Amino acid sequence: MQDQSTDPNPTYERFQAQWLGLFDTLIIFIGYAESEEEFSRYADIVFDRLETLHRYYDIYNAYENVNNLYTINANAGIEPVQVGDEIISLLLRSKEAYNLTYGITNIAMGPVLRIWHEYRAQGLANPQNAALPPMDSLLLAGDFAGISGIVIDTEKSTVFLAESGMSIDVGSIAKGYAAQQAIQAAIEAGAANVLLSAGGHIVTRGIPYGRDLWNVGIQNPDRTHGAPAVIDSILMTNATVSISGGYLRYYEVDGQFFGHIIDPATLLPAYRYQMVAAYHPVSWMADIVSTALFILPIEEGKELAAKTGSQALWMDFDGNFVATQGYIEKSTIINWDEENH
Amino acid sequence: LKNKMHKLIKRIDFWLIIGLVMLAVGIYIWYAAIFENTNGFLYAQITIDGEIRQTVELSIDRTFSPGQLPNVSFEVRGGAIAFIKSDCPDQICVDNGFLSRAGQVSVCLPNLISLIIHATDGSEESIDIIAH
Repeated sequence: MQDQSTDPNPTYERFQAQWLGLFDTLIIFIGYAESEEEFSRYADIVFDRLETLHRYYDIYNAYENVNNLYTINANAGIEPVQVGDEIISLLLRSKEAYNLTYGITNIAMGPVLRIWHEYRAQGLANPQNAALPPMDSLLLAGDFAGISGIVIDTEKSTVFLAESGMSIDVGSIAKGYAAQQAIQAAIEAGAANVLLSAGGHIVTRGIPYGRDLWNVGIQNPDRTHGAPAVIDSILMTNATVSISGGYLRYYEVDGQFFGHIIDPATLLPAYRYQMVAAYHPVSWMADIVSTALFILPIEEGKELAAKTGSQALWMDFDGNFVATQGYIEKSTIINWDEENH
Repeated sequence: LKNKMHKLIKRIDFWLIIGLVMLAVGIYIWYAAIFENTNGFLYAQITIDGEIRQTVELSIDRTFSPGQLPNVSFEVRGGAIAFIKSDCPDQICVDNGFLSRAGQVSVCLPNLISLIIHATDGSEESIDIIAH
């Protein structure tokens, strides 16, 4: 009888854990482990990490004994706030994202996004009176969306918003960066073959036992009964696929749909595509690239994908697909012909 | 003659056993092929506040509410399942429509309910998860 730790051919079983509420979505953690105990150990680590990061990255709530993004926003124009490494590293990546995406993903857009959030919440609660925010209030809020006003002092580990009226919104990056840190914590504890799903954001490491690659489906935005459940699936490992689109979080005004991804150039919801998927080895990059691609015109989007080493799929409102060559190579369902890429 | 008879029966026995074994192997391969084609059976799992409360078989069309939550209803139709009624303000769960494939999920955040489709053979129909 061999010692378990040196067994050259251990058998792995598939396990799954799920949590509702963190990062406002259903989190599913799938992993292959030798026993349920082993898997539970990884699942606990993933949950703890996500719960901690959820508090740090929360812009709507304050927590006792924690300085988080809410604290930073509440002290805009007042004073620098001492924060932990998790926040400093998130904000540094956010600034990098801003430069990479020509300012399309801008965490300083908080004042504008807050207005849309309010109108969307009211429109969903009371569809009869759903309305669009007035343009002048959006423009006024836009004056407080300069990213240079976010002052990060890495030596002192503080963050200061230069003007009162500024606020940070990390919706385009926080989930992706949190998922990355949570799965990394599980890997460091010994996990090898795991997948973490946070709504439209799927991080994969290792392989599903018995197969070469994880197979990640992309849900059909058309949800009528009888329509195919998935439009495509891609084979992947050690990478992330992140999708942006009108699946959820939109509201309706006079029969028109308004989504939650706001184009900083127009201050209005982006409406070019039904859905965009971005694939990147790094989780937070996949998150910001998918948001940026959802906003950018196709040619600029293709440039961004090439520049950032991302692969991508675009789906328009007629159900037509465009994809990068690298995406097509991973795709298993869409029958690609010559002219659509 | 008796001895010859005995040998003949033995020979018949031999071929009979070979035949039965081949037939069994054939039936096994046939069944395995059928099972592979259908990818096992799909079922739905309803989770409330993190706990699995109900496992739903998808072959019989019906509507039902989980016991604890009479203001939420599900419909099973043609092998698919959906939230069809919920007292939540956003109605995202209802808008999500029918789920019919392993790995698909629908969530009602205000009521802390999740609906997930699984396949019985654990293969998840070869799709591990569906991004939504």
